[in-house]
Amino acid sequence: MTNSLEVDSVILEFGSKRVLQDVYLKIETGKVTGLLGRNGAGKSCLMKIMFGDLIPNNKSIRINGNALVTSNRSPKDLRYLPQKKFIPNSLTIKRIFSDFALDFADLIEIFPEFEKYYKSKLVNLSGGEKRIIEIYTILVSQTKFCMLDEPFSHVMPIHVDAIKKIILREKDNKGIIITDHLYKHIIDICDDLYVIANGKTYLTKDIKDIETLGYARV
Amino acid sequence: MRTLRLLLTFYKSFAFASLVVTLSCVGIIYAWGFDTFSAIFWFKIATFGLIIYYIHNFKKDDFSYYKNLGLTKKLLWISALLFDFFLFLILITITLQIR
Repeated sequence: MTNSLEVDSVILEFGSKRVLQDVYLKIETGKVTGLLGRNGAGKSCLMKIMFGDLIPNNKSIRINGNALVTSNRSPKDLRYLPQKKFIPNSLTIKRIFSDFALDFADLIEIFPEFEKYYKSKLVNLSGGEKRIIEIYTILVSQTKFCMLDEPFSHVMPIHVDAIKKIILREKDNKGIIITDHLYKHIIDICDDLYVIANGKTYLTKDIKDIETLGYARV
Repeated sequence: MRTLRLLLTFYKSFAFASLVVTLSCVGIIYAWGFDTFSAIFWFKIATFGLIIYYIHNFKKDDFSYYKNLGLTKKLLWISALLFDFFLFLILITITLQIR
């Protein structure tokens, strides 16, 4: 089944500063949607708004046309990888995989070096390894949509390639929205690419648009 | 079952500090009797405030883990604080009976 997640009418103000004002995003099953923007453009804020962690002045978020009115989100609908570490350090990998109903054998197939960590607590892993566990749990666990905020940062290049493969595999089952300043990786895998500039979202039609919108020199 | 396990994990993030407070209250009740109950009751409530402040400032990112599994902040706090307060009342009652 194809699901769609739409966001529009978002107004976000911090005091007198308007951060977001004219936003439209559409995320669909089978597609990877990229979101780029300069630092402070409002990418992370927009994801937090979608996840219900940030209350804006106005918003309309709909899954298959049904509005998400409260800040509660069902994990069956939406999961979110925040920019910062979010899994408590005291948990073991075994426990995390049990909570998210994930198959450890699948992780080992992609990242064989993690086999020794099955019963280890997250605190014993390096920063990059922790990030891989976090990305994997959000990306592979069952949900209609997942949002990834800077999944490639702090991850070594060989693992970035593996994560990109997982994203391309998982997009068959869910809609994925992803933002990261390593924009070439985003461009590689995304089907739709939005740029946030001056509080507005622009759906790019050509790769040169990201230069025109002042994000990067292509 | 999974929800209960997650609630317990959240409670464990401040259980030690809370237990130290509860045992201190039990010690005071044991030494000075029921007359001190009003004071320790408000002391316990005040420490709830400190615990909430600490978790919201130093462990706030962990809330995303629970939210990704369907547990809201409100549910986590209500369940954990109710359990902790219930434990506090039980231990105080037992102490008063032993005394």
